[in-house]
Amino acid sequence: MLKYIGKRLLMLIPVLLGVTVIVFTLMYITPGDPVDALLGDAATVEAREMLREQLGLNGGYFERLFRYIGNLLHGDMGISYATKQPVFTRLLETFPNTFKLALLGVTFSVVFGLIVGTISAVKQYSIFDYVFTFICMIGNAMSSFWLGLLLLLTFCLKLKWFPASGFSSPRHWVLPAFTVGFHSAANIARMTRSSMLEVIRADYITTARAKGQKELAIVIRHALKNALIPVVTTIGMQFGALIGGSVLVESIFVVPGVGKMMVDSIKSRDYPVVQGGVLAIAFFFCIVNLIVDVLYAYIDPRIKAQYKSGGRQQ
Amino acid sequence: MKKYLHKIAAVALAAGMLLATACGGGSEEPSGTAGEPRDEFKVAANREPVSLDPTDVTVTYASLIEAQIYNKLLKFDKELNVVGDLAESWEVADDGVTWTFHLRQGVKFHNGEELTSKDVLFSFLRIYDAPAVAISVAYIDKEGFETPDDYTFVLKTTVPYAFLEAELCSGNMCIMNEKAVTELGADYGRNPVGTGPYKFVSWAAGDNITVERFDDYFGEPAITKTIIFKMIPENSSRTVNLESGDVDLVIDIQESDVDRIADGEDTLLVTGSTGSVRYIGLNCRHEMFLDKRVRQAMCYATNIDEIRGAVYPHATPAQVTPVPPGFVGRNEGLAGYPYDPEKAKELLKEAGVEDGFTVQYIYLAGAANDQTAQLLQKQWEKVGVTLVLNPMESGALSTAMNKAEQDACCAGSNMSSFEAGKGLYDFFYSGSIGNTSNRTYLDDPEVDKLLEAISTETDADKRAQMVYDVQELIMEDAPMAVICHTNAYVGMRKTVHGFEFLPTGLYDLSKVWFEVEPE
Amino acid sequence: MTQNNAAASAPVQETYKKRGQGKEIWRRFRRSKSAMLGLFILLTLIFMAVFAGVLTPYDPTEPDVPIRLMKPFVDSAHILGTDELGRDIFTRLCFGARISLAVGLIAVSISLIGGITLGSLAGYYGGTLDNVIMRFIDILMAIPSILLNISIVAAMGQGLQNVMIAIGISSMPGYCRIMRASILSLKDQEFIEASRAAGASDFHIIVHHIIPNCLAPLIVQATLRVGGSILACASLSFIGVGIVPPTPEWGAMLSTGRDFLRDAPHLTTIPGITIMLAVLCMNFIGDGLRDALDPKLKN
Repeated sequence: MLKYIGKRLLMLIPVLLGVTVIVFTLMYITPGDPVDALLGDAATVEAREMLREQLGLNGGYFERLFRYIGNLLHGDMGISYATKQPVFTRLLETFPNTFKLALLGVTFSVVFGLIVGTISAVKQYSIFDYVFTFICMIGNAMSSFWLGLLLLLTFCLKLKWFPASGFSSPRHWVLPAFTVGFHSAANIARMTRSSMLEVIRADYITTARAKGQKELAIVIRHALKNALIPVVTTIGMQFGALIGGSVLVESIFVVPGVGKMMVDSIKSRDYPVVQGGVLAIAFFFCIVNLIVDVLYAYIDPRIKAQYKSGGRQQ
Repeated sequence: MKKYLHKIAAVALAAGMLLATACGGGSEEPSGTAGEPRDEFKVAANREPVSLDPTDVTVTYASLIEAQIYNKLLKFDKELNVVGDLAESWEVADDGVTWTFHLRQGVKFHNGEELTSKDVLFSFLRIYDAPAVAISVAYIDKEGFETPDDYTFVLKTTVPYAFLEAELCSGNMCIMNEKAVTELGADYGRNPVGTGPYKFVSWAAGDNITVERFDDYFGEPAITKTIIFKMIPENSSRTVNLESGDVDLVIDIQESDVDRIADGEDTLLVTGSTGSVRYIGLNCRHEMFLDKRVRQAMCYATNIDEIRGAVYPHATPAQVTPVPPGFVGRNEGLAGYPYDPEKAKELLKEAGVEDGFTVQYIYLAGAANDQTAQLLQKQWEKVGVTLVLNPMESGALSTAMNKAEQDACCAGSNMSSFEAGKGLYDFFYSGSIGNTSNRTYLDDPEVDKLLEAISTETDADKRAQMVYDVQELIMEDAPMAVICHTNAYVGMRKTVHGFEFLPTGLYDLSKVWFEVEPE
Repeated sequence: MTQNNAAASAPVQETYKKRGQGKEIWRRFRRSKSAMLGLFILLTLIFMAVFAGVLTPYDPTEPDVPIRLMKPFVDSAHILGTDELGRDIFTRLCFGARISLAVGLIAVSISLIGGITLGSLAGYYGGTLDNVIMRFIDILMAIPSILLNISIVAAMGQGLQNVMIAIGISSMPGYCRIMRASILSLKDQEFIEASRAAGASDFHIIVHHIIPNCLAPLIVQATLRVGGSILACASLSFIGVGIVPPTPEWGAMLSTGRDFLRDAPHLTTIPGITIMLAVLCMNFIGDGLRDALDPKLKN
């Protein structure tokens, strides 16, 4: 197992390097100059030249790429063009908020999705199945910024239940987390439902039932545990995607998160922040996936056996 | 409950008066109905400042916050007269280039240091090395500064420069403390030190900037102890935050929410002119627009009223000239180019391009600009000109404009020095191409000559006459179709007191306070 | 990306009874009420798209400022009201169906083609090629798709075409993985070996034997992604890097309407609900297809 984890961690290096190169290249070919983006209208040609020099924007593609990677290897993610802060500081300021938002969102969607999915499967074709599956699918089908704005109008303005902006206390967390979680709840519910349906027809469930066990015990102890396996991957995926993917929700509820910072940085051509941010998100995404895969092994004895018998085909 | 209603009614009445007076240009303290003052209020705007170092890149919001933290040598009052700020008095020598400023004595910085002419000199010198603001000292001689004593500061302009006073009032010219800047180094932008009524406390990235009353302020101490500046990028979110009471003052209400805030039960709106211009600029260097007649045709083909009515219903109509109303020297007698597609077609025929052509049109992607673009596209289509829309995000747009890649653009700019002559100089002087807001790339020697003369004419009356004359020349060239002068829309809770609108947007928040609102 | 595991786990065997198989799937598909509802909605939307020019007398891009922001169900001439420039919303919705459905379809096709190609190469040949392709896919997956979309559109410029390409590229990894997994499970099966022994080329084997046998999970995934692509397009419009006006695209309509959320909520409600219906119907169809294509659920 440890050997597997080690191997996976090693594989991070080419992936992260690839991410760096791809993002660097995309930013490089993007029209628009950070100097112009920063200075806007009122600046002389000499001033632009001076800033270009200060930011280290002179030099060709390879020169700058290698310089960036070289600095990165020394643990230096660069300085934000706009705020002149180290990129690492910027990330420290924003990443925790996004992490919290993603964690809360995923928790909500897992709780909601698992319950709905399980009951829907157990009581297939019942009213409950239809109604809740439908609600989940609505959440999935709504554009998240529209949903967010509607929630804002309803719960902040009309009902005044929650504050309209900020992310400093649990009351602030509810609406953004719901908006984010509602969207992915459907995926988890659907996943749970179909994998439960598969499991529930399996022989061992019939056996358990024949042995006279309580239905609830059967569902939770036998069915859900086995149905969870594919669901865990979905959860991992959702969590990974939410880091950096909840830009719209961050904008609407004014969550000082990494997604919004990234979009602003892309628009203002703040390359070091874009590169550092994507790199951090990618790193995080890979780690989450690794954890999911390890979890997977614990839930599914078959996979665990595979690790023991020497590596799994990746 | 009854008490609550009563209070609301009383406050609403008082606030109604405030709105009425505020719209008239200034505002007065409503008397007799004031409730308990709060020791904190929250302000919101759309964009987070990148730094509170005045020599860094400045967004409007940063200037407002800096206006609470810093002082400048001079400032504009609400009638746009230049008055002293840190300078108690100042005079220009007979040579027209040597300016002497006598500083206020006993002014303390937030770190306890006393302001001296050394700090002023340091602040000026710092600007030369700051690309974002270096343009502000372009006419000041770097070698010409003198500090004869601690409270006297002398500077020399390279030529007799008409706009120096206006320039010194700009947000770029804040006076910093030498010791603080040197000690903090790269961290200074997030730990600013000034002489203003509020001192910086904290900055939570992406969320808020907090300032607190500075007790040793040389002027009247601030009324409210703490101000929290929040950043809320989404327009509708910002309005909701004001209506729900999550913030107390929003400095940039979007056009489509103006009526809602003005008529709101708990909110009121203060509006005023800011010297801003929105226009459709033609690239005078572009092959198709080299011919003046074609440019004039495009102006005739543009239905300004339709665009303004749909997109900027609350803005001040422009009358041909880009100089906003209220500016000295504004030429209101210009005939201009009233909407007349037939005339446009005639002119195009004269110029030999009656078969039409294609125009690449660039603009900053966003609701208002999108709408303008779509209307314009249909209007120009009627005279056979195809408009290709290229919405861009800010990063790409500035570069495209600096390279003059477009045939036409939609742009907005501020005559932030509140000097028509300076504004026109920035907009239309050929030497400004690539430097400032000359987005039409107009290069007319006659216009240039007059603009040069304006910038060195220190006699205000003569300058006004020249400004008046040059507008006619410029509009004959038809480099742009002016859409309107957008206003600032400041929304606030009705419990506000002491807010005074300033065209500069650098509102003095030290006099503002809010009543405790009933829950 | 989230659905492919179920899709991939759907066994892909017994496709021999060529004739009658389609009928059988249709029979099973028909049994699902939600799938049929989805199909009905989809056909309605397609009908709107095809007959947009006939259904309404208006031009979707011609402004009529005096009647801007007209409320819906007030004037029978503009049954769904007018937008911020006075254009008939029903008209824009109909013409928008063309654009939005095309966005969904083309974006998915791009990722389908890319995914199938890369996935087959990786799965079939294995070894270094597999490693290189899968690392590339890992890289794509590690960048959040919305950020990747924005960067690609920023690099290539705004516009319908580039938006479709961006969305297509960023959702490619899912298909690639499904394809590769399917191939790995098929590669060593007897009928493949038989055809190899008979001297068939790799290309022939992939196109004629492997792809048809992997189709089921791919089709399901593709159907489910059509809705996702329409939503992604709306998100891009929200951020300000979407399609270029005056193109009547649903996502752009929704995004522009948000500035009028309070005074003219129909500007967001109508396209919002339309997008929701489109996504729902594709999801219903996708779920129905999965059940219909999955022989295990056959009773």
